[in-house]
Amino acid sequence: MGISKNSQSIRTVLRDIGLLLHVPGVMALVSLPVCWLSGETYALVPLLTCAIASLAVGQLLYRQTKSQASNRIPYAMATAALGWLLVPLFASIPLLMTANAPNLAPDLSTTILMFQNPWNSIFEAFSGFTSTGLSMAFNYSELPHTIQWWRSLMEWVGGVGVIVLVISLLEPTTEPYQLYNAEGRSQRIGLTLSQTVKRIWWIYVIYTIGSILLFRIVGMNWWEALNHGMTGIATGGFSVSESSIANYGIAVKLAVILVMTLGAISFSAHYEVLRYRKLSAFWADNQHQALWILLSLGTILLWGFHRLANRDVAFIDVLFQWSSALGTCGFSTVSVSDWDGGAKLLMTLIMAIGGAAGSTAGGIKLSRFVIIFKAIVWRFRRVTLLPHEMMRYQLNGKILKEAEASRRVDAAAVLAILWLSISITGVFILQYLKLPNYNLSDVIFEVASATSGVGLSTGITHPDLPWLGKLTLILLMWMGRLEIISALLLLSLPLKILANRK
Amino acid sequence: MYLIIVGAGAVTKQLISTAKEQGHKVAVIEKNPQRARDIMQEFDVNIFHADIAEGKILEEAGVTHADAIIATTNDDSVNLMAMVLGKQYGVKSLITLLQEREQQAMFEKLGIRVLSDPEKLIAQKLYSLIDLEK
Repeated sequence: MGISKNSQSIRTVLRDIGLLLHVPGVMALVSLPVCWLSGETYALVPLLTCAIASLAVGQLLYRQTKSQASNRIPYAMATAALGWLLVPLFASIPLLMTANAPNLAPDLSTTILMFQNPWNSIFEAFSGFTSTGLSMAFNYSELPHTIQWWRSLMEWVGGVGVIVLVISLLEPTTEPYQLYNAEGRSQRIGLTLSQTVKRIWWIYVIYTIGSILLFRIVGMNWWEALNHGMTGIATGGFSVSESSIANYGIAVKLAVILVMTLGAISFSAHYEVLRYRKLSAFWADNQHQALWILLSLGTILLWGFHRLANRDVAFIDVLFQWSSALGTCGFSTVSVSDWDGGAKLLMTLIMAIGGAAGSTAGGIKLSRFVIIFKAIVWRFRRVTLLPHEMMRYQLNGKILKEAEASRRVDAAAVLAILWLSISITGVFILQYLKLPNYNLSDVIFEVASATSGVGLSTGITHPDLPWLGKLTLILLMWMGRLEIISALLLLSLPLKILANRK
Repeated sequence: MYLIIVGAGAVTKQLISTAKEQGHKVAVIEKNPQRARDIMQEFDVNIFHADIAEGKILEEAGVTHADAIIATTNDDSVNLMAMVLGKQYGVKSLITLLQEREQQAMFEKLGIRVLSDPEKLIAQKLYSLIDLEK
């Protein structure tokens, strides 16, 4: 009986994975006009292949059973984790096939040719869907338009979440709220989950359109504005311009900083602002207060670091890089590779913390950072407490019960430790690849950038990186996006099955 | 001044906010955790989660440098206990609410200021507001 229940559960997982696989398929179909308008006929077959493959496999998995049994939480997490592995794999098809297309225009630069290597294409797709922004491309502006669009679209969809997209349109068999949680979200901004995800999408679309218009007004052309608007609000950071945002004027830089910061603010705060015109929602709770404090203090600190090192970096660029790291966006205006270890470490710390929970940003998240910070304060206060004196556990202006407070501290601390553990593992692997020209601080920076889904790079992300290094960064981006626990659960399943066989 | 309030009822909140406005320091002793948290939610005061009958709770709350103890519970015996203990520690002002008027004389004999029957006070005040001339 146990076995039949197990196989039933696995069928439900596969059925929902089938639903998720429709996402890259539909994305490819939506991208066909770009291919046609830009006259890049060589990208047509790759997009169609991606669409047919994803939709066919998706339908096959979806229709293999009419199972209506809802699954328990571990299976929801496995579904999310496996879905997030398979969706980018299917989405790498257009990159790989376009680079290998026989009728590829001969005047294209070598940038696209790097995607002939499947590792690079898969890396790019994972970087896209996890809205990281680390890229295997040398020069973004020389990529075909279809590929530029495809990269931006992956980040845009991935930023808000494949599962959020699916449960706002379709009905998975697994309890949707569990899937929603497994994708690293927990906030509700509506009575029901379907209302919540629909609101998230509305907010997302409104901000995306706003960002595109803003970028157009401050001086980008329509194509650049479209792509940067999509990847900016997704806190992704793929660019279509040579060397990211570096060659734009100050107005564009300020506009991008604004969009990156908006991307780091939670959807529930955006909802309050849009629906009730309560601008104070942007600093009403502790995590958004932390956002503004870290943003301003960190910029000054980083600027001071550069002064101390006698490095001439303009203040606007310091502010830009700092908000890019804090919002886990990954646009850049200057290269961080020649910064000193101290400045890189400071950037690493803020990348690890990341943006607000319930936003498109990655990292440990500000809400957890706040809880851990409070836990330290509480710990000290408890030492001085008299035997019967009541402890004041205050969070977001509310008094928590002791059990609730310690539950939150536990959850945040466990996640922070997990984040550190997988990052340290990643650092060891990359360090022992013995990369020339890169020291330990570069490796730590790159690993934090991947795990938090930032996309700033010291240059380690490069087509010449050995496959093991690429795989390591891919896994870090994947685990980081799912907030680790779902991913670890999926990885532990084979072990569990083996153990049960005895 | 330093005031210790025993019991966290509706009166206590008014009392705390008045005392805080005057710039006094306040501590509250309450045995019900939910009521204690209610006070904590609104005011930045020290709160002790304990029963007044638990031996050294007043000492823990710093009774030796307290200027007044105010008992506000609905239970006269608890109020009495707070007052007797306060007297032992030599607190200058001892004030209590009282439900049963018959006990008033006994409390006053101990040098405690008593507000008995608060409902009656309210009723009298309400009555005094009526314009009887018309």
